[in-house]
Amino acid sequence: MHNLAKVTLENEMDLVLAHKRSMKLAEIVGLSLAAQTTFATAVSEVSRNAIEHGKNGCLTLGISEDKKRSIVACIKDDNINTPRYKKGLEYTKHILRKLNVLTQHSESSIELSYHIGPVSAIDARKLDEWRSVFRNEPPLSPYDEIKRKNEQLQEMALKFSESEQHYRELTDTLPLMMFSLNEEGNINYINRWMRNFLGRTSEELNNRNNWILVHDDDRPNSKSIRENISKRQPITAEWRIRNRDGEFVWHMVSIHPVTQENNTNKWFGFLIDINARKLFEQTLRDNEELKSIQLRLKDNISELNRSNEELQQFAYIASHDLQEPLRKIIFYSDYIKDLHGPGMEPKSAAYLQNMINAGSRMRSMVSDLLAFSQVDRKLLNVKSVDLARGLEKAISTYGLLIKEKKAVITHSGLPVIEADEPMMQRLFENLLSNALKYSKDDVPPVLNVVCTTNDDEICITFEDNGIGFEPEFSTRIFGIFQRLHTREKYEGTGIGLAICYKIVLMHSGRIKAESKPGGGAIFIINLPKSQAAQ
Amino acid sequence: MNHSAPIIIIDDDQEDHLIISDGIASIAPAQVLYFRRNGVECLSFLEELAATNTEISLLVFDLNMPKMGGVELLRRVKADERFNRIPIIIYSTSINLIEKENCMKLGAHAYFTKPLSFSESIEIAGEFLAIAAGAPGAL
Repeated sequence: MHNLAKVTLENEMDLVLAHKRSMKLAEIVGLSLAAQTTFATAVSEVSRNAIEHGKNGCLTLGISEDKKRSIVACIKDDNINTPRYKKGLEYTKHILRKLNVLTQHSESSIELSYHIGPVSAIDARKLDEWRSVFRNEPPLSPYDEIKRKNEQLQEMALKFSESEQHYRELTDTLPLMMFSLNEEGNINYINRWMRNFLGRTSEELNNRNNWILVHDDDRPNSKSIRENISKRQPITAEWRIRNRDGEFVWHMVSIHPVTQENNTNKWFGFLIDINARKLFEQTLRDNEELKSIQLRLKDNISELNRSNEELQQFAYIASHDLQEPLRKIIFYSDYIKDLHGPGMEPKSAAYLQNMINAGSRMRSMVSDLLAFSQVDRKLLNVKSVDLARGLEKAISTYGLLIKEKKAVITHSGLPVIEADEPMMQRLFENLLSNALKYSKDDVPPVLNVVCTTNDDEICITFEDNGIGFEPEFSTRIFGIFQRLHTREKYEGTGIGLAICYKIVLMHSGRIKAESKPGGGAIFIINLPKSQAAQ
Repeated sequence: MNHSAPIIIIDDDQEDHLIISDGIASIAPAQVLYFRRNGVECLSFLEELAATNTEISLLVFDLNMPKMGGVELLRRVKADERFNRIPIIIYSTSINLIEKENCMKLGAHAYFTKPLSFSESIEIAGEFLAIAAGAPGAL
């Protein structure tokens, strides 16, 4: 139904309005005077019944929407279904046959309709025109005027409360926190999101110091905040806010002053969750930092490589070129000793001998240093090496010394692996010489070499019955020129094990030394079977 | 001791020339020694000798020399059919297993470390002369 006019049914005066408007409706759609009267009388009857027996009655006048055009009067009333009300309707039926009691959505209404016959098209424009007839009709009476104004007022109030409800729902469902403060800084309103986030109501918030909800590091100093407030300047910041579980979440905070009509101040605040952005920024920063560290590291590595290479070159050149003059010093000293030694004054002869000894010592150090510098990854020439044969060769190198010391050397399980042959040879020679050198005075040296293998690694142990070493030296023992004993007791430059360490490292292996209680040392070497992946 | 065909010593160190010649002179005073200071000088000298069909009984090479070192010289001499039967001794200050193996592989006859004592220098001179005497008489 297209509504055109409305009358609330409360008293006798409303009955007059109902009648007048029904007449008017019948008139504007072009019904005869007789028909107008019939329709208006029927509406009046129903309205009277509503005023007498009903409650909250309301009459709406309009045009039906179906094809068979009719004018319609619809009465809604809370009491339609009471017996008294129904009985009252009986009187109306003889005036107007078309009277329906409809029940829709648990709300009952009475509809009176009067067919208006074929009329020219009723369109939206026509309906508007007719609506304005009712709206602009001069009030019938002062009562009518008051009633109209009252209705308008009520309508506005309804709309207003609807809009406020709407607004509240909107703010409640927004995924951001909103609040308002009065001039004293008390919270007037917080939305649902904020309530849920903080786990507190505005009353709870007003009874305490709310700064504890802001992370210590983000809390502004109270002076600057007070200044902002007194100057009525907006506050914008990024703070970590403590949620109901005690976790801090980054928020963008914005609090703006609003001056109201009565010149009092209010503050509106918004808190937007920017935790994801903050995390992203932090990650980005960390990443950036990591990159620059990586770059620095790369620089350092290439710098290190370069200086390492230079050092290697230096060691090679120094030791190689140092050999020559040293050899000459020794040679010429020896020449003098050979030619004039017998006739020399004893002290001079002793000093000359000391000179030769010192020169020889330095020469062996230089030549060891040269040997050490020559253990270089770049010079690694990898092929299949029979380690058992390598050890046998090393044993034959020291044949004389072994015989002299009555040493017993055994080995088992040494396989063929991929390695640099001369370096393996050197490794075995050094370990062997070490075992022979650091033997106990009164016990013939025994060295047992045992090798075990697993999938891709071999493990060789060199176990002797010598003097061993203090456990705290187990790593220092591999340092260059590291000596544990005086030169007088044991000869040597202290580079043999350093070379062993370097050789094993060059082959991507590991070497360690263990001291046995009661004397004796064990050297444990792990080497990969293959160098292919190195 | 009888002397052999001339021996050529290639060494950039003048003092070593003296030490070797002293040693050899004390055993075989009539032995002819030639001294050259690097590989390049040695090669051109060998050309001269080949032109006059002069026999050489022994070549002694130092390893570290300017212009052309002992290893390169060894390779070149051994690649030349005219000279490749002359025995070659490597005579160097430092002993290095890798260098030594390499030189032996290239066809060096022996490898001596330069002497540290006077008596050692005499011994080495003796070794040189023995090898020179056993040489097949190259050219």
